[in-house]
This record gives sequence, C-alpha cells and structure tokens, in this order.
Amino acid sequence: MNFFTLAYKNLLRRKIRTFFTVIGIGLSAWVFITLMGFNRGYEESLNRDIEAMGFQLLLTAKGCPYEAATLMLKGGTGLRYMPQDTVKKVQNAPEIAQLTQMLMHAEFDPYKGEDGGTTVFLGIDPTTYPAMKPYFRFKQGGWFTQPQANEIVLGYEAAELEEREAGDLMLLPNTEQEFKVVGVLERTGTQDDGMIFLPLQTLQKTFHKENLITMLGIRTHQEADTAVFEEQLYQLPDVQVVSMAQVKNTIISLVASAKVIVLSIAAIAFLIAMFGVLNTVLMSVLERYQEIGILKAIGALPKQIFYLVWLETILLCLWGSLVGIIMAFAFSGVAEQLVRYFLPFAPVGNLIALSPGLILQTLGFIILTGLTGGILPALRAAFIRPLDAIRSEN
Amino acid sequence: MKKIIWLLVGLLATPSIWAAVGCDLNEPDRDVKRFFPTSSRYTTAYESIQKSGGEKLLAQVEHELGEAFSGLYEKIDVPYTVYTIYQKDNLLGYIHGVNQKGKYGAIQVFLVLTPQGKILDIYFQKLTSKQSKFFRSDKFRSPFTGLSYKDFAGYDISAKKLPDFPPLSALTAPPEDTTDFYSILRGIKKNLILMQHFVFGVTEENL
Amino acid sequence: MSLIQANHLTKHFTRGQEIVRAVEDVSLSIEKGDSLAILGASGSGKTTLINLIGCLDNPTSGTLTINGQSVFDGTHTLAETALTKIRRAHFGYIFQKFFLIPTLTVQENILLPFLFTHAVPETMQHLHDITRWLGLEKRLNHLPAQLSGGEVQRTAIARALITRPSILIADEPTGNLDSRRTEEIGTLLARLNKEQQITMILVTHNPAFAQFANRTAEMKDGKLTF
Repeated sequence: MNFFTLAYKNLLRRKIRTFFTVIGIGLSAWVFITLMGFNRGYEESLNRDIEAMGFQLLLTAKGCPYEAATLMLKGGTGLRYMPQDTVKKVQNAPEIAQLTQMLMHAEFDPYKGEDGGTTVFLGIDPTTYPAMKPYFRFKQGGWFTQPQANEIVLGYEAAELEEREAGDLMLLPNTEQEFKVVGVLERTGTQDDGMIFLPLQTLQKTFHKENLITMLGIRTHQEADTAVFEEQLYQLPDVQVVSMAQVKNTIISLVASAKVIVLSIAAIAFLIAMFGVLNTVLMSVLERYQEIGILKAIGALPKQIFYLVWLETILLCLWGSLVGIIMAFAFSGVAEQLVRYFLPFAPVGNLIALSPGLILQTLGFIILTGLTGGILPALRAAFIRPLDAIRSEN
Repeated sequence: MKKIIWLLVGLLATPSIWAAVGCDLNEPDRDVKRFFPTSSRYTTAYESIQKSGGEKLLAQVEHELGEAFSGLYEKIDVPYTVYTIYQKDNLLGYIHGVNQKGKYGAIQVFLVLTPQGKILDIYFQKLTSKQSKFFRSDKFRSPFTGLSYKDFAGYDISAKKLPDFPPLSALTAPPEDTTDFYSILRGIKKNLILMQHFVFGVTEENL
Repeated sequence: MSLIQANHLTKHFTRGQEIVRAVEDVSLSIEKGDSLAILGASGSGKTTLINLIGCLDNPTSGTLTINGQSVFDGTHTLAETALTKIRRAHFGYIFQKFFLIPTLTVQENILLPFLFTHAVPETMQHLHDITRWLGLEKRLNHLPAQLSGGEVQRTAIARALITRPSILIADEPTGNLDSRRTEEIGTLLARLNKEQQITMILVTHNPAFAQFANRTAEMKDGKLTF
C-alpha cells in the first residue's frame, strides 16, 4: 500500500460526492479547453481564410464597396471602378510576385424572387487568377478556353443553386447571350464557393465596362517590405490599398473583446473548479477529523498528512481533467456552432483547435488550480492535533 | 478606410448567403400573405424523400414521374419545405416548391394548393429563361388553376409534347424554344407527386 | 532503570475563565514488562495523564524519561514532528473508538502505520504471527464493515502491535464492548504482556478490566495514588 492507493480509496468512500466534484472540475476543464482552443483555432482559421484569398494586398478604387452583401443591397450602384491601366503602373514593381485584375459586377435580375434581386459576377484574368488560387480543384471541367470566351466557371454552391453542370448553358440577367458552363469547382469552404466566374474581358464587354476593373489582387515576394510597398501604392491617384494583414487585425480587434470575455469565463471556470475542490476536500478532511488524529497517533507526520490530502486533490483534478478533455473532444462540434452563432464574424474551418499541447496545458492548469485549492484543507489536516481529534465527539 | 476593411470582412463572410440547396420561400411571411390574404398563420415542415420513405419512395416517385431523377442536384436527400396555411384553425391550403433544372439555370416551381390539392397559383421564385416574362404572365399561369395531381398522372413528361387529352391538351407551348416549357411541366408534376406523399398520403394505387 | 520515569508531571489547561488542573504533580515509574491499570471516574484526568506519558501532548511542567532518554525536560515544549518520532519509536495505541479506515481491508488497516514509517523486512511474518495470535488470520481480506465488534477491536490491537512497540497504551479499549468481549480483550492484553513482554498502560473506569493488569493506580482530581 502507498499514499496513492490510500488517497484513491479515501475518495471512493463518498462516491457520489467525488463523482459530482469530478463532474464540476470536468465542466471547468471543458470550458477551459474549449475556450483556449477557440482562442487558437479562431486565429488559425482566420489566417487560413486570408491566405485563401490568394493575395496580401488589394488595390481598389477609392470609396468602393466591393463586398457581396452590400452589392446585393445596393443593386450594384455603389461600385466604383479603376482604369485598367492602373495595372501598368504597378506591375513592374519589384515587390510584386503575382498580380491579378478583377472586375466585380452586380446585375439586377427582375426574375429573381417576387421583386427581382441582384446577382454578382466576378470577371477574372484566366492567365493570372488561377495561380493565385492554387488550391482550387475542379469537380467538373476546367478554366476558360479563351480570354474572351462566353464561358462560366461556377463555385460549388453557385452550381448547386443554379443546378448547372459542365456543358450546361446559362443566361446572364438582361442579356440574350448564352454562356456555357465549362467548369464547376469543388467546395473550398470560402466565399469562392458562391461565386460565378467569367473571363474578365467577357464580363467587361457584356456589361459595358470596357477597360475598367474593381480590384487588383497583389501577392508580394516573401522578402518584400509590404508596409513600404503599401505606402508607394498610395501615391497612385484615387486608389486605396487594403492589406490582408490589416483585415486580419481588424477582425482580431473585433474578436478581442470577445476574447476578453472568453478568458474571463475561463478564469471563472477555474475559480469555480478551485472552490469546488477546496470545498470537497475540506469537507472530507473535517469528516475524517478523528481518523486523521489516529493516523497521526500511529506515526503520520504533519507533512505526510498534508501530502495525503494533496494527493486526493490531485486525483480529483486528474479525473476531472480527463472528463473535461473527453467532453471537449465530444462536444467541440456543438461548441463551434455556438461560437458561430454568437460571433459577428467566424472564419470557415476549424474554429476550436484542440492540440496535445493544449491538453497538457489544461491538465497542468487544472492540477495547479486543484493544488492551490487543496492547500487550505491539506494544512488543516496536517495541523490536526491527535489528542484533540481523538477526544472530540464528532 | 475602416469601412473598406469592414466590407472586406463581409466578403470573407459571404458563404452564409448561400444556404443549403433545398427549395423554400425567400420571404415566406410576405409570400404567404400574397397568396392567402386572409391567412392568420402558417406552419413550416421540412420533408425529404429520404425521410419519408427512402429508396422505396424514390422508386415510387420516379415511377409516377415517368423518369428517373437526373443530374447532380435532383437527389433523394434534397430538403423540401411545405408551408401549411391557416386562418385561425381553418386550413386554407399549402405552398410547396421544387427545384427543376431548366435550360439556363434552376427553376424554382412553387405551387399554391387548396386543402384538396388543387392548384390555386404557380410562383416561379427563381427563373432564368429567355421566356421568363411569358412564364410569369397570367396568361401562362391561369390555365393551371384548378388542376391537380390526377390531371398530371397520365401525362408522359419524357414525350416532350402536350398530351392529346384534356385538360393539359388545352395548354399552349411557346412558339420558339419549348425546353423550359416542358421543364416547368415536369417541375409541376414532380411537385404534385411529392405533395401526394408528403401531405395527402395518397399513392397512385389508391387514387 | 525504569522504562518510563515520570516526575512531577503537571498539565493545566484553560476552559473559558477556569483553569483545569487535569494532571497535578504525578510521578511514577514503570518497569519493562510491567502492566499498570489506571482507574478513575470520567474527568479524573486519567486520559490526560496517559496522553502525556504516551507523548501525544506536552506537559505544563514536569519531566518524562523513556528508556533512559529524556523526552520532556521541563524546559522545552516538543513540536508535533518530534513527538511523532518518539511515538513511532516506542508506542502502540488502542483507543476506545477504533477508527479503522472503512475502505481498507483488515490487512491494509493493520499495515497502515508502515505507510508513514518504513516497513521492516520481516513485517509480513510479524503480521502473520499477530493476526494468528489475535484470531484474525481468516479475516485479512475483509473490510471493517464485514467484521464483528470484537474483530474490529482486535484489528485495532493488531495495528497497534505491528510496529513492535515496547509500550502499549490502551485508553478505555473496552468502553464500547459488552462484558464477555471486555473479558476477552482483557485476557488477550494480559497474555500479550506476559508472553511478548510488552509494557502496558491501561486506562479504564471499569475495575473488572483493571484486574487484567499487574498493578492498579487510581486517578482522582488529577492526582495519582497507588
């Protein structure tokens, strides 16, 4: 027999109390793991999302809202354009690794819903755009055959919505011209899934936007100083530069307040766990007051009693942590749905990243918390005087 | 500048615009009131062939339709929304839509039905066709009023021509391209068949 | 040289405003192999006295020598750890309440003192001898709840004996037992004293039990008279 067995058997004496304490610690551990996992997962997913955009810098006309939701609401009237020769002004900059021009166009479709609606199209340069999105995989077909072809490539969900397969025809709103679907992309989990892609020149011609573009996506060389390059780009007239780093910072600052709440909840979870442990162990010490007195009479030193009670705390915390870890894995899907529901913006992908490091960290924290919570009961036990204990009536 | 960043944040978030591809009303409150002005409430039920009878039902539906489900998007697990409309406790009717592959895109064929399953109106929530205007016109829609599953039961959709028996023989196909016309007829028939199984609980045999 | 030599042991403590003179100037000497019964009514100070002799508590004044070594010299108070080490070296205790650990088996309860000290190699043989001697050999794997009252008390005795103490202190060991069991335990302790040469101090209010000891002393108002 050793201290460990004795501690273990002591905990088994009050199975229901031990069970609920373990569940309590487990819940705290679960909350902690999930929240910390979110802390990490969110940023990772965000990075992935931004990386998936394919470019670090985006050049647009000043004051141009180019995001799909606004386009839908405003019916495309808010779009501003840049002359296409902006490309010439920047394309030779040494910082640029890749560059692609895009035209986003929103067209009102009178036959969408009862009162009509807006559909958004993205005109892309077939020679440069695919290189920006190396992770694109085609479910059917492929990219456009010609820079001016009347062809369409559909994102996964756009194809689903339009029930289009490669080889099918499409009409653009307010035109009589037929377009052929040449490719359907596999699901990427990004905004591209809902996109209808056309060759840039075709889109410009169809909707009379010749020589105009809305965006210029730029991928810089790895060694390039993006901040300096950004400043240079600002020298161009009527152009604004958005760096993905900025976008990321904005989102992160947006989520920062959520994170503060998240961390406070994690801290509260810990406090609850700590007081739970403290309460349980203290109660069990008080219950065993006389018994601990006897242990001391038969030769236990104060530090040995302290160790024994602390060991009980550690065991409780270990079991609780295990319960919490299992719960975290089992319910990460549910937790993720909750996060998505509550957060103003949630990137695609795994929001809650559970890693071995995090698991160890949680184990460490919970045990540390338990040890802190266990100090008082353990001290209390260690300083029980055998005489008082044996004499006492309870 | 800040605004732009926010907008870009929105761009990242756009996938939410594209919901799962079933067929439901974009604005059910408004649409229900439009077709049933006296309605006081409606319920929404989500059905699928998978849920209601699985492979066996699929075979039955395909048999009644006269051809197999086709394409990547016409599948056993597609969710359908059945709106049941009431005026207080009185059942006023149903609205139910299906996606039908058309020549240039998906056509969303919603049928407004009486409690007995007779067509009150047809609503093409989404329609990409060179004849969109024609299909949405009263002239095209009104001959369908009063028709029910029974009237379509004997109609062979694969023939791509109108039957020679009333009442469907009275319909007129558009003069030029008839592809979307026959697609719409298929969508209507599929819609009526599904309603027989989802709501009316009737099969071809016990009609 | 006496095994236990107590001189002018005194223990006062306060209870509210009042000073309780629990033990008042007690001197006694106990030889190795001796057995002494301390009789006395409840509140006479007999338990306080053996707690001092058994090194469970510090005296207010007086000296105590055990096996020639000074424990209390009348000037220093010993800390808990120091007292524990003395107890480990010399004493075995039997209390009125047995305090066996309910989740441990008889064997585990008996061996419990070794959790805190180091077990000597011949422990298992010793355990075997003690339990056979106490008639517990078939109960080693039972839990306390499965034992009779007498068996529980014998387990507590075995736990007190397992460390081979030279002095066994028994504080009202039969307080909870009927007269048949009281006699059984008394006979057992007398045999222990005789056969194992274990020095024994019994505290009891029961004169019938006191006769199992060689000598009897009486405690009254904190004073001991032989």
